[in-house]
Amino acid sequence: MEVSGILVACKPEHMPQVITSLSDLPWADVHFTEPVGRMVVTIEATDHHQSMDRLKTVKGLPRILSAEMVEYRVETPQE
Amino acid sequence: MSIDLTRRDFVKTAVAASVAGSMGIATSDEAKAALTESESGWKWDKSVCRFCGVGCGVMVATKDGKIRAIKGDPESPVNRGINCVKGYFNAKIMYGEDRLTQPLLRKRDGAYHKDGRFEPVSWDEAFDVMATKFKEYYAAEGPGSVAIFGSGQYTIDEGYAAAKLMKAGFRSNNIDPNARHCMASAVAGFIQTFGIDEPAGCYDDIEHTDAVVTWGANMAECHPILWSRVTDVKLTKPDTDVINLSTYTNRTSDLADLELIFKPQTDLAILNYIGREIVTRGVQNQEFIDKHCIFATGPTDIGYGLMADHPAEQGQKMRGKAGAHWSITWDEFTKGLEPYTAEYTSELSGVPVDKLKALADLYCDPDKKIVSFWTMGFNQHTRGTWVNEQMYMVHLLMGKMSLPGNGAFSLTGQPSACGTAREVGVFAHRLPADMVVKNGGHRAKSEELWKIPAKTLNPKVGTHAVKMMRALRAGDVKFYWAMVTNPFQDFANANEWINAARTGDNFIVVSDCYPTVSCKVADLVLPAAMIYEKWGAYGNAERRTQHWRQQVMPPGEAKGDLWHLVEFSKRFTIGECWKEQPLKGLKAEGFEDGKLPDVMAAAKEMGYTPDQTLFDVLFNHDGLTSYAWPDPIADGQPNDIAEDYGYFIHKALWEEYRQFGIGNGHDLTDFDTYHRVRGLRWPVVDGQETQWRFSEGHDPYVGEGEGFNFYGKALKAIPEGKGGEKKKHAGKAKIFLRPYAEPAESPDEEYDLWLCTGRVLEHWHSGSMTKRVSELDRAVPHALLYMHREDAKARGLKRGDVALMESRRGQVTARVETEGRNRVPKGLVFVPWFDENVLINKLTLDATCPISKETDYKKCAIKISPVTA
Repeated sequence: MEVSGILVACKPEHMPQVITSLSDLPWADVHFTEPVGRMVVTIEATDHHQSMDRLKTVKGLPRILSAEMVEYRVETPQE
Repeated sequence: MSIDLTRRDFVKTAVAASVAGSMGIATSDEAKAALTESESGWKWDKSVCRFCGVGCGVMVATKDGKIRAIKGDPESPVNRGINCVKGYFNAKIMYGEDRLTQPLLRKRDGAYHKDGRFEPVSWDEAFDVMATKFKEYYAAEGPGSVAIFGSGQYTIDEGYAAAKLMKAGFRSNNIDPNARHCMASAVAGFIQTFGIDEPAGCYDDIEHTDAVVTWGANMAECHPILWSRVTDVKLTKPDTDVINLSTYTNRTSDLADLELIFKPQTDLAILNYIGREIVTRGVQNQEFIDKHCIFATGPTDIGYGLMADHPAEQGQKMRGKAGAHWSITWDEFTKGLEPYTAEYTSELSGVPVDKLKALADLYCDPDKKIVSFWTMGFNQHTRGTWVNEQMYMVHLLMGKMSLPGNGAFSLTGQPSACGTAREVGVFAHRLPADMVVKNGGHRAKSEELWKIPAKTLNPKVGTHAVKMMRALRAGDVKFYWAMVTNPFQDFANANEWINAARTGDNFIVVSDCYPTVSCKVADLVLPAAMIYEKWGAYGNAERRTQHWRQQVMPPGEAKGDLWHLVEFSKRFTIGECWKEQPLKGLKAEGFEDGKLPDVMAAAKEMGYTPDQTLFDVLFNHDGLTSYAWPDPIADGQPNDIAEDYGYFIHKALWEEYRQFGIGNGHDLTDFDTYHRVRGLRWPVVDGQETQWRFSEGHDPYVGEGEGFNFYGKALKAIPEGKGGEKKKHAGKAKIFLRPYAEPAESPDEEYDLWLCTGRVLEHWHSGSMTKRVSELDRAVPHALLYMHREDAKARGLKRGDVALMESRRGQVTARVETEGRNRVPKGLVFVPWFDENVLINKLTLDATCPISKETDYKKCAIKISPVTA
């Protein structure tokens, strides 16, 4: 399993809509938000093949101005 | 095996807490606790990204000798915690399945054979054969017969060791970097204009400026993190103007207020039009010009850097003297700009007059701060040096230079094109710190610092990268060693050179980490360590030098390129290299024609003996071995190369190297300091970095009351008028008059389309690293042929069809893309060059800027037809 931490930005007035569309993605979670339009999102993927596709999906959502990778982890079982 | 839900949520919470912490977003105590627990036993260390010239800071977490996580470095002033897609995979690129882990030699019947098949060999056998072949050519034909093709991806110590081995050891100046293809025009522009290399300003200009103008630089795709800073500025200060000039619509246009799509090569005319507007409107900064500038020009019939028999070279009388220039008067300068009216420029460039005027208005407004960025669109240009100089012309006329938010900024494509290739002097004509081999004083200083006898260094400029390939074909260069680069994919007109390498009497060595096209062309392949498998330093586009520690061990028998060089040096005695050497064409003051002198007598006086090796005198003397390993600055990190040599070779070479620049405008500080900070922008004087060079209050080299001082020392004495007496203009920048010039090849009836090549976001350069990461590969699986729908239709093609592209030099097929992010105008097609299955350089023309010798990959004529199944 891989987890990427993404910083997503949008205009403040679009936050509710963006949070809804992110929440509709089964592999994305919105963890923390700031009223200025920034939020911390994690993306889960089975392997690194999926991580970028999913980041691209997030980038392509309506009203999102930017979605950039901040942290990337590979999680191995039984650690 | 699976990870249970609790563990899964726990990891996500921890990652989210880490991101929030980096970005200054409030989080919970619970999340913070999860983060701490999840990172138990991890060690985070600062490093830098391995890819483009922006130089983003990356944090690397290791545990048990493996990389566990990567994150943007929140303390990095460059990227402030975020990374682009390429940064994502800095660790992943190290673990491709086809990673090279042992030397490979072409063998037949148990011995080296040019037509043999690759077999794994020991390092000893690899170096034995390599040294035998080197000596065979070197002994017979001298230092001119051997060459290293280096890289802007060399770490600083690697580039320094390569230059030192070649120049001080083998007495050959045949070392040139792939940066020749990306930065040489920028370098020539800097040297001719300011007398010293590299940008005056820094990235902080982005936050200080009122207007960002990109010229032939698709920053949104090629420098995404820097572009995210521009985006932030545009979003928070919407009045900021963003203008994109390009030959096709790209992602950078998405943010732009104004887009100017111009016909290839006509940037030369557009810049002259802006210059003309400035002087016609009378808005130039006269005081700045009078105090700090002179006007200059040079010959115009300088050719296109092609072979002498090429039709485009006929009648070009000043071929070979392209760099000559002389001072002119204000009247001569303004008269030269006279033809570039809005109407004339519009007709030539295809840009509507109103757009040209809007652009000129920005540059002409004395109260508007403006920063101009460019990359390969300017540099890979048959008039690359000129167009760089024209950009400075515009900024200098207005005095919009070397000030916060005001400046002309040449971006770089490689992580250390600046720090290594340029600053260390991995060029055929250079020595460290902007010194040159032609200058006797510079050679003497280098000989002293390198502790080698006088006249060891060769005063004749070596073969530059493009000439090296031609020399390989002609049989003049017979030993060719490519390091951290992929020349047989990268060079224009690639078929010629692949043939020459495979069929000639020569020996090709490639040091790399993956089996690239060049490895397949080689006779010997040496497995190299990658970024976090070695200690290193890079210098980015804003003069920021950044060091990192080794994080993990290289796989198998792979070793850092520094080790490749130093081990090779053990196989040569100074008696073999420092005796009299033949050198075709050598003519220099103090040297006998055609030969380098025997310097062994002087060497003996210095205490050397003929049987000492190049290793002994270049890499293992007391001045270097006194840097002990282990060293507290390593903080427990590994260093397999230092273990091998018993001293801290990286630190020793750094401390030796920086002596070249001290007091010379290139001051770098001590090794340990760089491991404590997030890079420093040189000149670093008294521990202080320099954000804006040449400018009082910012640059320690500029005295009180001077305002500005363009103190670079090179090419300051030039003739007063054509053929006049030489006069020195210390402290002055040159404002060049450079005319529009026709391209070397333009579309005609048969080859009716322009071909432009370049990069895309997901891949970097020839793809030898990024193509290992399969998701990058899936996102852009093959290089596409971007063309206008109507151009496609006119040739019986539609999106997704396979098309045949042909130039006068070769043919290649690719799939047609008429939509997507690169939207080309009619008459021009764009093809990225990362894909070895679409070897687009079989088509490109090997025309260069005659001053910088940099290839123009952006313009040639091709035709396109459908491929019938």
